[in-house]
Amino acid sequence: MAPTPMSSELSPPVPPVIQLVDVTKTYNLGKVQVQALRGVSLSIGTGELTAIMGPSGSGKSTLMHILGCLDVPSAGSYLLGGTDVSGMSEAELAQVRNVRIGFVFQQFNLLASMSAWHNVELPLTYAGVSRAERRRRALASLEAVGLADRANHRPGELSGGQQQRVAMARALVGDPTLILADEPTGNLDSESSEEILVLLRQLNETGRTVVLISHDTEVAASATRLLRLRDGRVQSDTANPNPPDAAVDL
Amino acid sequence: MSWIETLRTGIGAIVSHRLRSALTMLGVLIGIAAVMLTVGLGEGAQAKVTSEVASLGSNLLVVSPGSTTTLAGIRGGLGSASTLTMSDANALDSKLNAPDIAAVAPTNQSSAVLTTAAGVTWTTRVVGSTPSWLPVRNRTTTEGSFFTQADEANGAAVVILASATAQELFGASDPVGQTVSISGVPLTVEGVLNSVGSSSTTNEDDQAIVPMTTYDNLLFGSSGGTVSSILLEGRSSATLTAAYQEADDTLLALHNITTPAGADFTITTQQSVLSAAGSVTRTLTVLLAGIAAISLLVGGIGVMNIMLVSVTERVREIGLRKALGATPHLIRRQFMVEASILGMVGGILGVALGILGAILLPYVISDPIDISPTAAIGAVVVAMLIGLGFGVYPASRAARLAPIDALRSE
Repeated sequence: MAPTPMSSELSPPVPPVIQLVDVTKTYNLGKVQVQALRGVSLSIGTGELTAIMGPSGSGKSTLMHILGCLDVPSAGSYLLGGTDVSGMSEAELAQVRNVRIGFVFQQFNLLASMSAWHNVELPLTYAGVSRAERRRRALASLEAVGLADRANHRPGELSGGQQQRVAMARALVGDPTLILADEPTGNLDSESSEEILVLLRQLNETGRTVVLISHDTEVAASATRLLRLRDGRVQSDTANPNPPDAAVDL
Repeated sequence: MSWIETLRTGIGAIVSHRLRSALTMLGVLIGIAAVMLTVGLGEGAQAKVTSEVASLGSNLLVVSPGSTTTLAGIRGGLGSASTLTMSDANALDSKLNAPDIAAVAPTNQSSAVLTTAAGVTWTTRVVGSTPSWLPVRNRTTTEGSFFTQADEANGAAVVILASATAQELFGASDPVGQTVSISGVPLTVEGVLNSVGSSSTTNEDDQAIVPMTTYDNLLFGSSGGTVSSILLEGRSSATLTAAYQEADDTLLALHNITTPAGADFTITTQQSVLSAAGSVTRTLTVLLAGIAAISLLVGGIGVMNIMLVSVTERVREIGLRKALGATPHLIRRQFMVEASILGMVGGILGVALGILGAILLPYVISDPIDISPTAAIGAVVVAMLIGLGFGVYPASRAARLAPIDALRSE
């Protein structure tokens, strides 16, 4: 886990948002050891919209957990915005997730008993932001995803697409360095999917770093960069020269 | 995340599962109410015994014939022999022999039928004694007056009625000056005693008191100077032990008994009655409180059970909260707060139910229930601690959940 010479040689004035160096992840399932990641090195800079693709079993979920600081690598190092997070304690990781990462999940993961804006303010609660400020920022964030008029609705009263937009508002509210979307359109119809993808592209165009994990080529096509994983390794890493224009649909 | 936020989230979680939260609280509620009531019942019984004993006469010593020990001599069980006489009583009345004894009242008693001139009859206890009976038993007369030393000396045909007896014989009319016959002997009612209620063994408000000489000579025939008991009043509670010793020494000397173990009489203090009665109630209270404590324990296990269910049910929520930045410490605190709110609210409702029971139950069981504020506050604290204690394990389980496992679960 020692810092590699490469990282110090590069040392740009602004460190990349994500820098993985030879990351491996091994799960011990009883007697069997499963190598989910077999040495992944990659660097994602500020403002990129990267799609990570791969068939099931390729290790993309594991990679996403590590990128999201939900899990730690078995070996190798992970620098998030220049900070090595690979050796952090659970409480420290919680702090990193709270401040630097915004999650969008396939299952939306909204709390059913709370109104939309209460769901959105949740990360700020853990950050210790005052109540009035939380409300202000949660409403602003909902407005940014076009749901200002649904602030007091509960998730059950919203459509799937709207729920995912609430989840995106929640991911944005803490102004994170990285937005991590794990199959964000997996549970949505094509129209809602398109809305979400457009929203992600818009966010990206305002300078946010977005990592999108999907097995859907159509979804991945909206990214500026495409990473393919296979058997726990990076298979290909290509730029997408013609990403769709975000302004078209909305 | 501040404590207020944690509290707000906890209340939110409890409110969103109303029925389940209410049932969990019910377990604690019943336990706390049961403990409060049993402890209150014990305290009430204790207070009742104390006041009863006090109503029998303050600093009272009772000398009874017979012995509770089993050595040689003129012997028999307590109260079976007639070893006490009027001369014993007179000796105890001497300031020389027993300076710490304030008053002496020898008594005899029988059951007899009282008949008024109008033909109303009432069977009650007839007590023969001296004018000292009144102060020794800590009583007063509400109407008329007690019989005098002269009545006692002359064997006057007079009687003093206790309040309930007077009520039975004369109803609302004034009994003083009226005539009551016992065994065909007409007696004039001189006074009526104040009401003190019934003790655990006898109804102190249903009896008739006559002078000792009248009892012996007119009513029940001479008992040869023997008395069934001698009541002694000590000068103060501080010198009661000295009074006891003096009475013991005087009677041992008078009865020519050398070893205290061979005594043919027994002296009981109200203190010994009190402590005997107290220990019985205490045993009962501990037993009942034990049963109640078990129900409280069951309530606590209920809290734990529900919290475990809650953790399992909210795995995704826990995972999400962790993903959004909740530390394990905060998750643990969250669940601990929820468990203690369940315990505390259950406890408060339990105390309310206990107080309600303490007000209503005495109408049914005719026993007083004393609930002290200390016990009420203590009960709420205990309930909260139960919630907290039984919440530790579920909370730790929630805190230990890995966010990815929690998020993955369906």
